[in-house]
Amino acid sequence: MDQHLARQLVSAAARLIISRQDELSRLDAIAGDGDHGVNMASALAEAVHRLERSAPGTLGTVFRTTGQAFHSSVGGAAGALFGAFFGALGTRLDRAEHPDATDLVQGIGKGLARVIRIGRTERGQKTMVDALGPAAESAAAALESGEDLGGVIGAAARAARAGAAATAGMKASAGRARYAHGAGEGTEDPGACTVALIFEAWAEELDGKVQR
Amino acid sequence: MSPRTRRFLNRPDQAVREMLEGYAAAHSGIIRLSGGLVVRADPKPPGRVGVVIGNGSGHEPAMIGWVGEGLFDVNVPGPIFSSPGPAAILEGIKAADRGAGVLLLVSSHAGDIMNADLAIAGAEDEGIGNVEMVVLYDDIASAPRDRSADRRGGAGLFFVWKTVGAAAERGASLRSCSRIATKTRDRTRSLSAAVGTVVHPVSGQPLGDPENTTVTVGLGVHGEPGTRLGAEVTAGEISKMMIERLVDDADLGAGDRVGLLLNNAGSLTLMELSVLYRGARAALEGRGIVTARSWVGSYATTLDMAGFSFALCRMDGELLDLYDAPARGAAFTMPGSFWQG
Repeated sequence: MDQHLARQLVSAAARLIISRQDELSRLDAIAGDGDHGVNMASALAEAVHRLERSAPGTLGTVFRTTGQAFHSSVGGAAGALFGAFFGALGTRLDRAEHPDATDLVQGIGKGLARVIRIGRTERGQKTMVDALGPAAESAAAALESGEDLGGVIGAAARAARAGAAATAGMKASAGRARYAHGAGEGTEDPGACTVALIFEAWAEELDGKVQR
Repeated sequence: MSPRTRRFLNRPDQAVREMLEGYAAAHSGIIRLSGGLVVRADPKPPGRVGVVIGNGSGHEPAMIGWVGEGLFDVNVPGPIFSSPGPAAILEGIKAADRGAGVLLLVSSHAGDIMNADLAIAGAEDEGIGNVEMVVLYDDIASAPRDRSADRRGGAGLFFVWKTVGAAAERGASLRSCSRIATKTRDRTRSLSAAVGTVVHPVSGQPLGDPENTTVTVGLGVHGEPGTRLGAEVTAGEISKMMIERLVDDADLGAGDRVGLLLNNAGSLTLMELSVLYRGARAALEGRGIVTARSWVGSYATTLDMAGFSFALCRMDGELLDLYDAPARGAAFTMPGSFWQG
C-alpha cells in the first residue's frame, strides 16, 4: 500500500458520497436537520481538493489530511466523528514503515475506538458505530483467515452495509436523533449509511487494483 | 401549511459567508469579520477573560449579534445548523485570549460538545492553557429533570450570555465567570412551541414533518418533535400550560423573581408575540411570581420557523446586577427599549 492508493481511496469515497448526498440528506431530515449528505459531500470534496494541492506524503498523511478537511470544513457531530476516524486511521498507518493490510485493519480499529470515545457512544444506539463496529470486526476476521487487502475491505463493506441496515430497527439513544422521539424509527441512520458507502467505494476501488 | 422554499439568497452554499459579510458591514462600529470569525471591532482591554461561543448558523441573531461590549468577544459561526469544527473553534479561542484565560460556552448539542472537546484538546497540544468550557442547557422537553445534564441548549441561554458577558467585561476571573455561567444555567428553563416546519436552505430538506399543521410543544431548535396540540387550544392556554411546566420544573413559588424571555423562533408577528406574552404574565401572576425583567423578540431563531419559546430565569441580586450592566452588540443593547423594571 502507498500514498497513491490512499489518494485513490479518498477520491473514490468522495465520488460515491457526492453522488448519493441527496439520499443521505433525506434520511437525515427524518430525525435530524437534513444536511448530513451535504456536509459529508463537502468535507470529502475539500479533502480531495487539499490532497490535489499537497505534496506527496505518506499514506498516513493522506488520511490525516482527510480528517483535517472534516474538522475544518463541516463541523457538526458527523464532522467531528468522521474527522476523528480518518485522523486516528492516518496516525496508526504512519507508525508502519511499509503499511500493509494488517496496519489498515488496525488503523480502522483505532478509528472506531476514537469515534466511540469522542462520541461517548456504543453499539446499538443507532449511530455510525453500528456500521463501523461490524466493519472493523469483519475486516479483522477476513485478515485472520488469510484474505488479501481487497478481500478484507470487501468483508468490511458487506458488514458495514448489514450494520447500517440493522440501524433501521434501532431506537436512537445518542446524538441529536435521540431527541426526535421515535421519528427515525424504521429508517437507517445516515451516519451508518455514510460508513457503508465509504467502505463500498473502497471495496470497488480495490477490486480492480489488488491482485486476488 | 407548506414551508417557504423560495429565499432571497444567491448561492445557498455561500449563504453563511455572504450573511456574515453583510452583517459585519452593517454593524461595522460593533463587529468585524476576521477569517470566518465574528470579533469585536473594539476588543476588550488586556487582562480580562475572553468569552467565546461556536454554533451552527441559521439561528440569527444568535450568536453573531451577541458579539460586543458586555457580551461575547468572539463568535465562531458554523454551517447552517451544524457546529463549527475544532479548527475554527481553536482559532476563536486564540482570537479571544486577552491574557486572562478564555471561557468557551457550549450550548448542549452532540456536535457542539464534540467539536469543543476537540478544540480544547488542540489548544492543550499548542500549549494554550487557561481555557475552560461550560456546557449549557435549558430545554425541559429534551430530558427529565433528574437527567438535566442531558437537556439541550435553547433560547433561554440568552440569560447566560448576558450575565457571563457582563462579569467578564468587569474583570471577573475565569473561575468566577465559569461560576456565573453554571449558576445562571441552573436557574434557567425553557420550552418551545411551533407550527409547521422550515426548509434547510442548502439541502432543500424540510426539518421534521412538513405535513404537520398542528401546534407542537417541546420541539427542539432543529425541528425535533414534541407534543401535538389540538386546533381548539388557544394562545392563552398554550402560554399558561408552558409557563406552568417551566414553573414546576424550576420549583418556582410565590414571591420568586424571574426574568421572562419570549423568543421568536422566526416568523411570528408582534401581534402573536404580544398575545402570548400577555398569557405568560397572567400565568406567572396567578402563581404569585414576580416578573422582574422581561424580553420579547428574536434572540435565537430557526430560520423562519413559525414558533417561539418561553424561558424563565430565577433572579437574585447578583444576577439582576449583571443583567442590568451595559451591553452593546449588533442585536442586543443594554439599556434597550425592551428593558422593563
